Amino acid sequence: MAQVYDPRRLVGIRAERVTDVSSRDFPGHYPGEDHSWNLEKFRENLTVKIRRVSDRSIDFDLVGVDASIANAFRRIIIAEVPTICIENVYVYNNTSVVADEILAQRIGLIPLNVDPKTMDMRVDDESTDRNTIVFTLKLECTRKKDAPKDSTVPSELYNDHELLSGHLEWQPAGEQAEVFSKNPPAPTNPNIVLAKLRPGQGVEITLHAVKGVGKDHAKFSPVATASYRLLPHIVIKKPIPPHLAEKFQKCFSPGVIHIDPRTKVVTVDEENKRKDTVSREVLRHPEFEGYVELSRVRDYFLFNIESESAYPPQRLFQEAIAVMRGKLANIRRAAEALLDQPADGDVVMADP
Amino acid sequence: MAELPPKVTIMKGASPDLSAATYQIHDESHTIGNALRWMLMKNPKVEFCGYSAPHPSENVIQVRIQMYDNLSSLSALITALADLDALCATIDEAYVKDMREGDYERWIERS
Repeated sequence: MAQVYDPRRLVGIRAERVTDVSSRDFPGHYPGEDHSWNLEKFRENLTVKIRRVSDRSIDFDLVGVDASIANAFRRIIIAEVPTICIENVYVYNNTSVVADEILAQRIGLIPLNVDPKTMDMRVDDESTDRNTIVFTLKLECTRKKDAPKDSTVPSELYNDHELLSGHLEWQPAGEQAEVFSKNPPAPTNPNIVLAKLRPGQGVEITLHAVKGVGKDHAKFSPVATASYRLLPHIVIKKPIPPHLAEKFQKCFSPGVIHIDPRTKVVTVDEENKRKDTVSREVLRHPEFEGYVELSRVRDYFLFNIESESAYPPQRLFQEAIAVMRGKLANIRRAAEALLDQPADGDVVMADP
Repeated sequence: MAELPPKVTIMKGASPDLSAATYQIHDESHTIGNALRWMLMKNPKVEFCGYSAPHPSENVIQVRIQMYDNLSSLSALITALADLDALCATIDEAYVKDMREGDYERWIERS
């Protein structure tokens, strides 16, 4: 049975244009209808359904919210959920071919396994054991004594010919040894090549990792991607002629269109229709004109979040909600402070 | 450390009863701007609401609110903030509930 949506929820997709893009569920838009904010109604209409989880990514559906809300969460996950990254690089020695500042940039990008909950934001460059983690990186490439004469393979010829993220050594300070005893700070991936070395070349570096957010520097972003798309919706208006069934099926992503093997009846696979890319290929063929209508559901968001940090992927969305609520509380406090002040038409200053 | 500017200020030109005013919110972006605009527009007493991020080098957004019946736009703003918070709490609840049910596909992703 094909799923039917309220036509008001659909964004029309035609061959060369989209229709009904903006939401219109505001008070005063439809005469005689109440569209004012109602938490109970919202709760009833809201669906959150987790679809697929791996150790690195999560897919879930968020249904019944406006794009502005879904987008706020997406933006917060990318730019405002804090992570721990290396921020200061003190180079005592670097005789590798990679220049100091390039090496420093590469080191900054290494994702660390430190749970951001365990650390504070550093303010005013005042480092303490609560806001800074210190690593050292020391490596020198040497020639292997027993290397085969005719070899050209670096791993046979040299020791330590690659500077890897795994060479970072954590230097516990203060209470850190205790706090991080279960999960000592380290890169999430020990195999990131930072520089290649040859005999006589080496580095000696001290690193300070701090807590930060993606809007300051992309290295602090906890995700590789955090994105959503709208659920595709396909309506077959009249039966597809059996001799065109396979051509019709090929206009969509694999699995989206089902053809009954016996009767050749064409239907949309409701479970798999989310896989469609809405390429609009079907609208290019004149023989299918009037047979099918493409659309997307305006309030049906298919989220995909790929964690590239210490956060398990299923935690990121909750972190985003927490950050959002923190921001709202902050603004509300400032707005409430304005209530007590007389408005004289001039700029009213809130308490700093 | 430099003194922080106030988080919210009412910009010049607001009507004395605050039934029409533009609020400047410091250190916020489209993230809050659009969500807040949407929630304010859900209020039937709001005649107009819009927001802008005036310039990329200024870390502020401006939210314009005009009310019917000479009501206070400031109270509408505070109500909208509270409603948004309730909305967030509701989504969080629904997410946690579905996570607890554990009815999802688990798979191994190779890096």
